[in-house]
Amino acid sequence: MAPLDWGQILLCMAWRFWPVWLALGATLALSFALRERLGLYGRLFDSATGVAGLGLGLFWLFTAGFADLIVTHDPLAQISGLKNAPPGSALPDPSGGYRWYLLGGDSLARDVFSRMAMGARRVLAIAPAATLVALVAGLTLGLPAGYLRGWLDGALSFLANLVLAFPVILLFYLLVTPEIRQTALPMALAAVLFALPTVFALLLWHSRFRTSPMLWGTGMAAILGLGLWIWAGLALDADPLGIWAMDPGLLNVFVAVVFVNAPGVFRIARSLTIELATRDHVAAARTRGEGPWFIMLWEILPNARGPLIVDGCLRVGYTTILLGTLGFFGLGVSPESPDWGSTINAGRRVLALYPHAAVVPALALTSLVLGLNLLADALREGAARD
Amino acid sequence: MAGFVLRRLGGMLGTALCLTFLVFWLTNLQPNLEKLAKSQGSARMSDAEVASWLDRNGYDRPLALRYGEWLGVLPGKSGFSGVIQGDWGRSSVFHLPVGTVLARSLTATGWLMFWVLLVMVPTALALGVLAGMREGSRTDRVLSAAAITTTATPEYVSGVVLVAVFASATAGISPLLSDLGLIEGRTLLQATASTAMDEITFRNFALPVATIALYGAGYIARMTRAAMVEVMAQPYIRTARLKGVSPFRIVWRHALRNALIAPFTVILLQVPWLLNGVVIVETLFAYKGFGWTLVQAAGNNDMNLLLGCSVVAVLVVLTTQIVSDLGHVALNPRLRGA
Amino acid sequence: MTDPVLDIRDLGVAFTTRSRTVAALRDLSCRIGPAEVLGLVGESGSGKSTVALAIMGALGPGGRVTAGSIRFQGREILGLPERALRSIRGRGIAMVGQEPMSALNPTMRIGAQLAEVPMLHGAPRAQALALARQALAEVDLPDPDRMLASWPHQLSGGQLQRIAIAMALLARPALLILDEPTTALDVTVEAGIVDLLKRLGRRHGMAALFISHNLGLVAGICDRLSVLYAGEVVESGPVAAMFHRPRHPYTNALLRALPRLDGPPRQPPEPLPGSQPLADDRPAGCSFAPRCAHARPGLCDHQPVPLTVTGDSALRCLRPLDRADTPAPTAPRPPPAPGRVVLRVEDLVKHHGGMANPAVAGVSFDARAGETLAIVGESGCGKSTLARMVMGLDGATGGRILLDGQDIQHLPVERRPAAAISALQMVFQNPSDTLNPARTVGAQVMRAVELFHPPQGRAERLASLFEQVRLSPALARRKPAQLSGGQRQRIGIARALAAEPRILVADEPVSALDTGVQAAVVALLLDLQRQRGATLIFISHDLALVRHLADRVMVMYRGLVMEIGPTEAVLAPPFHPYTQALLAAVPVPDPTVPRPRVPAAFGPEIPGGCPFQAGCPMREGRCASLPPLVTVAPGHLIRCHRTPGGG
Repeated sequence: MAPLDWGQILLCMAWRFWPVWLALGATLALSFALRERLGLYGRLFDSATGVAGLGLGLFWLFTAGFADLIVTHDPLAQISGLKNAPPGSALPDPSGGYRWYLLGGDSLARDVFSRMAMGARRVLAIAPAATLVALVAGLTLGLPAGYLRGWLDGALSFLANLVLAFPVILLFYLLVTPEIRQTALPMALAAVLFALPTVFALLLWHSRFRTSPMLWGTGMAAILGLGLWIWAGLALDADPLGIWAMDPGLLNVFVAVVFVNAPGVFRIARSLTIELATRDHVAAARTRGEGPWFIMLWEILPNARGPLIVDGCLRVGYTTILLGTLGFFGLGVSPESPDWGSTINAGRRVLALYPHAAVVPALALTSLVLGLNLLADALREGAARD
Repeated sequence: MAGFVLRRLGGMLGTALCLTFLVFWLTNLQPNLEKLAKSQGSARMSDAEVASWLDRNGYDRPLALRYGEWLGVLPGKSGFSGVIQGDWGRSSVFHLPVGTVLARSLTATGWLMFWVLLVMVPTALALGVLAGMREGSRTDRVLSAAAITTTATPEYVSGVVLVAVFASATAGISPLLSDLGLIEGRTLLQATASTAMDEITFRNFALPVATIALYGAGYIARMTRAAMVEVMAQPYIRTARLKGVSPFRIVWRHALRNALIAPFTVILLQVPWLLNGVVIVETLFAYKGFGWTLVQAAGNNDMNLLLGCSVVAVLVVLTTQIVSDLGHVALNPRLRGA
Repeated sequence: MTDPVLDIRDLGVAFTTRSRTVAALRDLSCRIGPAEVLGLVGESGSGKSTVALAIMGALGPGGRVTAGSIRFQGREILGLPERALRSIRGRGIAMVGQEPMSALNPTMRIGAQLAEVPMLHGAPRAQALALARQALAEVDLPDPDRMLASWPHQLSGGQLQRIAIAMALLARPALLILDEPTTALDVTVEAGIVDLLKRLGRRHGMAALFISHNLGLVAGICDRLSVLYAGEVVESGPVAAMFHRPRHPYTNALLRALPRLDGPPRQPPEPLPGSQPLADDRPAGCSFAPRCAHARPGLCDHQPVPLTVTGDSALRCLRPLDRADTPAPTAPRPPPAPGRVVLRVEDLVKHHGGMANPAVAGVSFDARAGETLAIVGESGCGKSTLARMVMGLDGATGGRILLDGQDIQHLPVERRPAAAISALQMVFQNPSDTLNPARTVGAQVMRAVELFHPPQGRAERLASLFEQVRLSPALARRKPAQLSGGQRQRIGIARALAAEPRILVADEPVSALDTGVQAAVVALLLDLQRQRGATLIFISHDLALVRHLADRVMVMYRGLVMEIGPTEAVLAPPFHPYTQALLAAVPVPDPTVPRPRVPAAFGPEIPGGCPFQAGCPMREGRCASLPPLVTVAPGHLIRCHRTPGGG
């Protein structure tokens, strides 16, 4: 079998991505048709930046979702003879499987293309979820710090600055190690961090519906039940039904990433709150006897959503970079994991001679982060036009 | 003003104490100590042997006590000798005093930072101002696209790509140049900076410097652009324009100083992030500076060295914060003498 | 007739946003002769500032001239290259804008900014600085050396606006454009600036375009007047004719919506229904027809109305008024019988930070059931701080606030009993800020209903509140951004009413609204108060407005009560000198009434003395000590050494 040239490689890759194209086309077409009714999201279609950012972001999202259909080989399988093989190399013995290593083989003779596609799944399973938890944690602490001020603000701000003054890599080297997993520290952190979303939801519901007893009771019970169930599963690994669970290594990485991100959200939430708390509608809410949580969650938070969405978008990108950094230093991931950071790390050893093994995941990571940054830019512009 | 500086210094001291204590605590967690015992003694030590080793070396005493000794506020075996007295302990990896290791590595990193700042800051400011002068112009769009791309490219990505393009014998432009006989050697630039420890040359230093500068430059340029765009929309710029001031003078005399207030803070707050870049780049290019040392210390649980690295890192971060506050005051007459 | 300095013909300006193009000005013509001052008057959104920007060639991105011509000294300036425009901007036309605080570069000293103008024209630095010093003297700013070395943030708004005017004069322009030059300033400061502008105009013989929303101001300073409505000139002519014989129903309605100091008291200004159409949905015929009492269906709403020019007047109306139809003065609303005291404030003090310059320095007053008490003063007098303390939004440093005899001073609003909360409600100043932009206005009023009303019948209560503030229930589903300023203030009132308050504190509720809308909101507040027999505490800077609605007035200056008493007594001699200065500063919408000269300051201030001494024309030696509040008549107190029986 002859190796493929670059034109053929690109064509074959484009063909492998067919489920992504299908989903991407359908989503974009539908959103474009309904853009007038979709608010901030719909306004993304007003600018090339927005469309490009959305396109890139969704591309990787769908790639993560359909990774099983896209990969040409098992990302862990080694095929002898294809160690560091250049892109487009043909398999010595296809025997029914895919006949080429589209983007070549890595130093352990695994398919670079398949590992890239699977890597997207690793990143997109953690980054958005970790950002979301960090966002909720930052908000749950940042809103009261900015609204109530006083000693609470002083203490929380000091803690946030403490974490922010830590060089990230040092923090990772201290927090993401096999030794730390033997202690109760990651689980304790997880117990606190994973409880915050439930607390947040309870406060949200309570402050809004305390004037309507029936609605209040049903909602509080539902949130509490669901929240406790998920919390027990993820943080304590004690889900009676066994649906919610998290591998200890993954939990360690997840907690570390949330821990690094939450102070940043805290700072933004706090400064937005300080600014918005001077508005007259906040004073009006106080004069009619609203409690502080109603004011924070229903008078202030909705008006901070623009900057928070933009920050969240940038933060998913930043988290992607952090996960790559962890992989790059070989922290918290198993050696054979196809995630982009560790693939780059593995590939850089033979970089000067066989660049493809490191460059492919590197470009993949950059394109995802670029898409998220473009998306944030477009959202910022869209929100500014409110 | 003096009160402000004192308050900030006090806060800085408190933060530094908290942070070093945290690092001390985390490095002294039981599993870490057991690992230390096994690495210093033998890997096949039994649990009892580990316990007695720890006992012998004083690791079973309360954490606060040992932290006080390390700091130099409590007497240790040889009286008060801790960080305050200048005794940072010995590095278990390099078998040298921590002070010596840090001095050597910080000198190396100092050169790296010097070149990075020299390349990055003027370029980024100039490009940012150029882009922000006229929002929406073609220059603006091209520069903004470039800047957003570099900010989306972490150092371990740009480093890999730059090496592939400039320093690979099989890919990028080097084979081409080599065939044409334009370069001696097989690659245009070197993929490792280990020789830069002895002598810095363009060939061995260009890639590490470019790798760090690229990420920061995009970020600073974006901030500068945003500040410039905002300033150019201010009523006082319109006042100047309506006075008949020339466009050049408007930018140079009226807009620039106002537009640089925000990026100034950003540049200084960028220094801690540069620290991350330094760690990645020094690892990637095998340059034995501060970042490389930190990775060695952390990877081998070299407690004293790791603590020394944290002290340095924390001091760098906090100093930049104070300098940024002071510079902010100097640039903004509104905050001066108030 | 001599050649006009500025001649605008059939000007059209449009702004393009991403989705559509909106015509901001249509078919606009006006001319300004040498040494003539033209007033351009209109409500917000009428396009009056766009005219200034079009002349200066500074419409910005998205704005462009679609039709017509602008000739300056006989030369067409539309389409001139940037370089030629720049020389015209520097020497020919100068402009003073609305925001003195942001019009000067915060990082350049005043001297450098002023000297830049002569230096642009080739003067060497030393000479430029001398000219700058001279210009400062010309705008009545004392201590020029200190001024020149100051940064903008060290000066007050009035001083900055004088510097902006000096800067404009330094260019020796043939035409001065003044775009709302006093809107951001206090009334007494405004009066000083207007006085200065008038004298400068006389001295330099400069042509000027004076853009304003304030008919009273324009009357005192302009020779001719153009009234702008929805991007079109609806009427123009000599200023005396316009004020005495307005022919367009809009001009007439604007005049009648203006609260006046002359004429009978207790005649709340006449509301102008509806609001100005947005630039992109003007009606088919006359733009004003939907709000016009005089419009005839089938005629006025049919096709665009042309501008008819007769002599030096012009009119865009098919059914002009024959004579000013002045309303027959209705019988003055009688003051209510004095009810019991519901709110008593005693020696209330508020310090911000240090002990010097308290925001509120010991204020006492009573508010009775069913009465309207007006608190009048300029920015920084402590009136808003006072209101916020009464509401429990800010804590006081000392003193008592008695609600029905119960002291609630030490209780922040969060800790006040439910009865106190529902008894005291507030209407806020800024219509863009008073409602939560993220939620529908219906949901916001509903939330207030939920807090004060049991679960049954909440929907009916919401409907009745909308009805009380005369808003269609259909508006309930809108977000605040989709409502006009007046509608938003009404929602704010409805929200406050949901608690069924006995005391309503209104902090400058209409100061951010257009004249016509302002009158309507005031009328609404008064009606509601009368129906419900509630107490209204109306905070305002506008004595002319207060004169028509308040039963009692309290005048504040620098945290102190200077005068308090029944409205008629406060607005008649004997005056406190500050009350007198406030009254003199109110612009009179009549060009024939002579205006007093307003000096900038009378002397240095001695700490611990009467706070008004620096601005007081009657200042004397004993003003170095703080005068007490002295009763001059039952219920009428004045804080001045000159008061009979005082000092």
